[in-house]
Formats: sequence, structure tokens, C-alpha cells
Amino acid sequence: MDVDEMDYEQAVALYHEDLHRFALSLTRNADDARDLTQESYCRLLTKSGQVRDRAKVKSWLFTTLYRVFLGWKRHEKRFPHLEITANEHELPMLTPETVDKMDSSVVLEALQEIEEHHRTPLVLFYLQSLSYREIAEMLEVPVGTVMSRLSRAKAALRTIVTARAAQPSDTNVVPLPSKHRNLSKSS
Amino acid sequence: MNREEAQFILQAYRPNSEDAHDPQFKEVLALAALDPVLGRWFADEQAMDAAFAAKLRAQPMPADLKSQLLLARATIRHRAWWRQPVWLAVAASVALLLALGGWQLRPEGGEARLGEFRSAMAVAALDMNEHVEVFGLDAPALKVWLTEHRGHPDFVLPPKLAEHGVMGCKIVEWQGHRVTLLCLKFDGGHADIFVANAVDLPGLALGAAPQFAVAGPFTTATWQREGKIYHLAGNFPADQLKQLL
Repeated sequence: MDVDEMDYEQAVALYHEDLHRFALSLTRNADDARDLTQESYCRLLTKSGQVRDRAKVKSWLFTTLYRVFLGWKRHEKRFPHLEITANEHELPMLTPETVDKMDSSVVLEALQEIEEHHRTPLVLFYLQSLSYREIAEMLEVPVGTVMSRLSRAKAALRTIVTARAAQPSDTNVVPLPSKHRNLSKSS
Repeated sequence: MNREEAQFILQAYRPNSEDAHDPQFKEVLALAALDPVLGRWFADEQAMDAAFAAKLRAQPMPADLKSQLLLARATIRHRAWWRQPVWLAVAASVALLLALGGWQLRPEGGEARLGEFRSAMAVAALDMNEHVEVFGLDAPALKVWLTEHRGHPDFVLPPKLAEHGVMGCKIVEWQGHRVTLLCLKFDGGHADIFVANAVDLPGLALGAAPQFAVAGPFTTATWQREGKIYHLAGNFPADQLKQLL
């Protein structure tokens, strides 16, 4: 399939924002996120023969972006992994209202602290751009593995955000009520 | 299915998505509707997911990203460089200049053919509008691209030249034969190396020792090695070019 003018314009209009958000979550850097998004669309222009079905342009773009990112990471090591160090046993409860009041950059920074292979399914979950089958194909793992990673990533994100919110703050993080919340069991 | 198993599946559920049609999700959604504890947990989970998703979507978007992506379409196209009127004109001018120079020197046979080859490659090197078809590929991806596009993935560059890395590439044609253009990274300069199969371009009178010449604005070096013809064209002095070989 060749991507004609209309297809390309549509692919930019429909997907570039979510692709950029996905790129930003991977790279931790606005310039790299822009480069990654642009590279994905450049490849759509130059390798459109690889896209067999017009309905697959979106998943092709996401998968291409992810693979380009992995290539950069492998060769340039410019995206070092940050270990999660928060102590989840003594943290106060996190509520949706607390998250609502946070600056979005705090949440993004917390996301970026999660190890990449857990972070990727979590971001794709929030963006709701791809089906689980497409995410599994992109990551080359079974759907069950995607769901396990998602579960762990959600727990990790809440732990990190909660820890950040609980810190004496010189930032715009809203303090939390002091309660415990078991993240994995029903209340 | 116990409550914990149901939670594991429900935590992956995305409202307003195709998940609603997935039989696995349908089953646990039905359970959540019947079990008040599970139902409350699910409502909390959905609220938390919505809050985080909203924050992810609230990230500012670069204002000019969309326009840059649309602009990319204009600069990365598949059309061959020789089909563009502006480059036809440039090609004609450069070919005329080189032909005039060649007529004065009256070269014959292989030397004349080599001169024609240099002229054609100078035109391709001058094409800054569609200089390369792909860029930013790492070495394995470059080899894959060249294989897929019937280029010359088995090229071997002199070590000092190879250090500069390939920035982009495309395939050009000369007298019906494919020639790979590799655009190399240089600080404050620019060089392209062209690779062709020696069997495709017989009679160029080349050996392993580079032949240096000037073609249009470029200093060039051309040599043959292991069945390949290499032609380097750079916009820097001959001394500097020689140091790369």
C-alpha cells in the first residue's frame, strides 16, 4: 500500500498527539519525543509498502515508534533506567481527587521512573489507542504478560506518585490524607 | 473465578474501547455488577485510571509538531531526482561544464566513461532537495533497507571514512544500473560515497588505488575493491579527502 496525500494527512491528524505522548513517556525528553514522532512519520512515508492494510496504520506507527526507540536505546544508551526506590509500606492513600490536583508533569515524571517494559503497556493502556492484541504484538509478548506488566506498572505508578505527594514539598504536589491503601486487594 | 482473579482482569479494562466486546472482560464485568465489594473496587480503579489518563493527555503538545510532520511529506518523497525539472536543469548545466572540460582534455575510452560517471554522480550529490530517501538508520537497519531496495548492502568503506557514519542513503541509477548513494556525517562539510557493482560498470579503468579528480564543486576519489566501485565526492580540499582513504 502506498500512503497517499490524504492517508498521510489523516494519519498525522488522528495519531500524532497520542504518538507524541507515547514518545514522551518513553524518552523523558521533549526534544527526543519530537524526533521519535517525526522519525515514525518519516518511516511511514518511506516504508509505506510495509503497511499492508490501511486499518493498521495506527498500530504500525506505534510499533515503529517503539522499535525506533529501542534502537536508539540500544545504540546510544541515552535513556537510562531509574530504579524505583519508594517505600510503599508507609505511604498515605492516593485518591483520584489528589491526582486531579497534581501538575501533569509530576505524573509524567513518576511514569518515567517505571522500568520501560512495564511503563510501555501502562502508557498504551491510558492512551487507549491499541487493542491488547496489538500491544502484545508490538511488545512481542503474550496478552497475559501485557496484563501482568500493566498490573505491576499501575501499582508502581501509584507508589511513586504517592511517595512524591507525601514528600515535604517545594513543588506543586498536593498533600495527601494519612491513610494506608492496599493496592492489590479489595477493601 | 475468585475476587482477586477478577480484579486482575478488571484492572486492565478500558471503558469506551473495544474491551467491552471481549468475552473475558464481559464475564468479569458481570461479576462486578453482582458483587458489591468488587463493584466498589472497580469504580475506584476506574476513577483512578481516568485521573491518570487525563494527566497524561494534559501534557502540552509542541505547537508546530503537526505542521512539521505535514512538511516532512514535501521533503521525503519517492520521486527520482532525475525526474525533477530543477535538477534536470542543474544536471544539464553540470554535465555541459564537465563535457566541455572533457572535450578540452580529449579523454578516450575508460577515462571518458569515468568522466561521465563522475558528472552524473556530481549531479546526484548536488541534489539537496531529495538528497536521501531514508536517514537516521543504524547499521543493521541500513543493510536491511539496502537489501530491500536492491542497493549494495555489502559495501566496505575505508576505516577513516567509516568512522564518520552514514547519515542517509538512496538509490540512483546510471545508464540503467543501480548505484547506492551513502551520505556521510561530517562537521562543517559534506561528502557522499557512491557504490556500484564493478560488473555493471565495465571499462571504467579503475584499480585499488584511488583516482582523484574534480567534478563540478566536488573533489572526488574513485577506486575499485572486491568487485565494487566506490566514488567519494566531498566539498573539501583534495588533501583532506586523501586523509580519509
